[in-house]
Amino acid sequence: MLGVNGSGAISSYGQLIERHTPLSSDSYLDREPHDLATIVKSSNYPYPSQQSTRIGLLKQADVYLQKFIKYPHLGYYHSYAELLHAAILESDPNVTKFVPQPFKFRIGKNVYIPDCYVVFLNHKLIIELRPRSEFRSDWLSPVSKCARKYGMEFIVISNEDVLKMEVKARNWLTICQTLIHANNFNTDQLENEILIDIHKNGNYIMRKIKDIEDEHERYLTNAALLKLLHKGEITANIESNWLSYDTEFTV
Amino acid sequence: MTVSWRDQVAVNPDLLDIDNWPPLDISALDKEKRYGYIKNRSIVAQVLSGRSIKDVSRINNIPPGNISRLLNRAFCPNENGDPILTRALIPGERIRKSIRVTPLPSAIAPSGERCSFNYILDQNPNIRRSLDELVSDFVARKRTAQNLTPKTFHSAFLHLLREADWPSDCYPFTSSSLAYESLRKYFHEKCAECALPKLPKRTVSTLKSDLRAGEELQIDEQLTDSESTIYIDLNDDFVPLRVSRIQLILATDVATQCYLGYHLCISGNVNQFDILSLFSSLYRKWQPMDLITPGLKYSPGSCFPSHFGEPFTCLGHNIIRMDNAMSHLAHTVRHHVCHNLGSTLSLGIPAQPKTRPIIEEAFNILNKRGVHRLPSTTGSSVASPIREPKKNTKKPPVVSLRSLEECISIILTERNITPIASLGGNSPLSTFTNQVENTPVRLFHPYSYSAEDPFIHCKEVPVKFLPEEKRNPFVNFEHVRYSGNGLCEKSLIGKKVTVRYDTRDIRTLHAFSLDGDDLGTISAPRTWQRFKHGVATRRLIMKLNKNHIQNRPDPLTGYFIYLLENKNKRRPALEIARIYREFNIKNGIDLSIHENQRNAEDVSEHDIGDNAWNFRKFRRF
Repeated sequence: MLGVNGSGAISSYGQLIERHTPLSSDSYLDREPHDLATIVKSSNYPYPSQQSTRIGLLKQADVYLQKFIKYPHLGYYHSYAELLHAAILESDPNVTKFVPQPFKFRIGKNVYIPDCYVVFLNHKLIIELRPRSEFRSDWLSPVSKCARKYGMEFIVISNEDVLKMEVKARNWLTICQTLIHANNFNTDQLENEILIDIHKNGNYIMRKIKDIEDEHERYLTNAALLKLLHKGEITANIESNWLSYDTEFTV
Repeated sequence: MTVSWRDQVAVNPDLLDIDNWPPLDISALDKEKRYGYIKNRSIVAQVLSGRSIKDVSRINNIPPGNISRLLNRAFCPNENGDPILTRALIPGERIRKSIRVTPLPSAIAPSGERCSFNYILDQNPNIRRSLDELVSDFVARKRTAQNLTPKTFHSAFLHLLREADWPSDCYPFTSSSLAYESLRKYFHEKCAECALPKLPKRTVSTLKSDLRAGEELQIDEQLTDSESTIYIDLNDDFVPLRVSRIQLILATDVATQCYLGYHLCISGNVNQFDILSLFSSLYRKWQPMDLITPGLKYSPGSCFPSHFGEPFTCLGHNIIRMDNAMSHLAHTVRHHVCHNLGSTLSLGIPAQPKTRPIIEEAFNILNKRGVHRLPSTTGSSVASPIREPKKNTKKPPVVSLRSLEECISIILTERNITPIASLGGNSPLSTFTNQVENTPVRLFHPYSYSAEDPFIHCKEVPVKFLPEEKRNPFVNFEHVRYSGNGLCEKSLIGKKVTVRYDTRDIRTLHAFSLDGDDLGTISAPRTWQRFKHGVATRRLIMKLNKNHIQNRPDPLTGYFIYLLENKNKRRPALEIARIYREFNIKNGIDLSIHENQRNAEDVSEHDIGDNAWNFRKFRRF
């Protein structure tokens, strides 16, 4: 199964993509497509690199610009759902990296740019986000076949499923923004102290950070805590609850 | 394959209890149907309770076949595949859409006309499509659409049939009305369907209503037609000038509706530096203006949150929403928001002010409470009845620009302390400060960000040296040569250096080699050193020079002279107000300009020539 990691558990992102069966298992892949799809060669071919967004699209579409940790360059996300999807990718330690708008496919005379390229549990996925998972039926087969040729799977995810995880995504957006800003600070020692505290007390409540008087130490402790969360060494119940001073972090 | 009612009940045992079936208000039924419905319901309930059909038939004196037929009808699937249940128990109720099975009536084989029209549309999807297009174009009022009536729609239908070579001895040509009534009903149904509001295709903003302070920041600008006055002292004569429009840029926190800051742009158009000025003001401690207009004063406690200092001056927002104006798309703005602030920049969809409702409401309040109450400040349209009458336009307005600024400042700060019902009777300011103190908002490190950051930029420029000129090595920056002692190194010639500059004052730059060595300060020529000026002003002056509109040796003063020569026009008057503030001209400074001097480097502040303009004591406006 695509979403199952080495220990047999299904990760959170795995649950999201398992609901959308990879099209590689679909029978119409056996049919010969009317048009063949090819990846347009760009400077980084055949590796994924973000395709540029035209100024016209920047003005017409609902575009969001954000830097993430797993994609450290300035990413252009062409809808709110894509932004939330990127934040959800940050929440799963099994996702190694992702690239928004990674390739340009040519299908006949048409050009198609998928939404995201994800490396998840050593699987390479091309993700397309659509309302109600509605994707052009005449493009499914050529794009899927072309992706498989390069060892990738093409998956269409519905915007509605991503929007259901909005609270979690917005929490992770905050966490990523904090960590990017704190990138230049070394927090290894503080991370060890927090882990020791959790092992000793069973949990770490965020309110402890508020009680730290020194601004510099408060900032670094907050960053250390969120770094541990991002690495997957601790967990917190922020799936449906906003991050607050009552949030408990456990191992 | 139809699943029998027994199998359906076996899969879903809840259906055995008729009380779990969809309810029906029997008082809405006709009296005749009500009796039949109650009887059918009783029969079905008896069978589902476990009695055999034979026993139920004997008790109710109904053939067993009728009972089986009734149960099959009740468990018949609808369009979604679910059993119809209750509605099927109503006698005479049509549970499925009628479909014609027999051929259409013709001259040879006449028959009934029921469902014939739908039969034609089902068999000829092209005709249905053409008819639907006609209706949808008509409802959408497209340029090429016809004005349809049932009669013209009917004519179009007959025309389509004739084009499709429909036999003339077949329905509808065998009917006296030619299917007019069916067409009329279809036309009205389609019009109603097309007129229904469409569901939004995409989610453009969060659907969550429980946002917290710092989650989203909305920024927008509004053009205010504010006819106000500035005074300049021209040869000891105070001349009032009309300034026309100003742009107000406002930043609002979405969750608490608290105004965080504003920037007044005294120019025709907002540029990227104005947006950066707004960001700078958000992270600088706000100080109230020194009010000079009589009668104006701040309400006690009214302020912007940054007045309280930290942590409000180092608060990071998650998403910053702006519209897609060109000034927002500038790379400097994108870089500042995404890299310096670490926030998400949302540029929004065009013509969608409702995605930024908080900011639009803010401008509405400002216009109603303050700006549009002043005379000559409507700007709504040329024909607006409350626009300034022509007789008043000959004299300068009563309201000065300074008074207008004070008015705006007071209204915005007062709104922050006004209780709002949607915030539970609390004021936006108290809600904002409360949430920042009690929720883990994102804060910058005290030393990693300052209010000056939006203005500090870096650029790589090559070092040039022209042996024939016998001058020091220099770099070109914004069309002007900069030189300094730090560039006089042989190893730097032809190489690039990084210059760090403040966009508000580019008289001097700070140069660094690409290895990071500090090369010190480099300066523009003395002709550009007279007044403090920024990148935007430099570019305006160079544009005028390029178009040969003005080309004086002293470019800054020459630009001022050019504006004074056009001072009676609205835009140059506004520009005078802007550069007066940018040049940072203080009261009492004697500024003499010698127009005939070729070499502006020799100009002395005490020189007064025959053609000199004598600017003294610019009155504060």
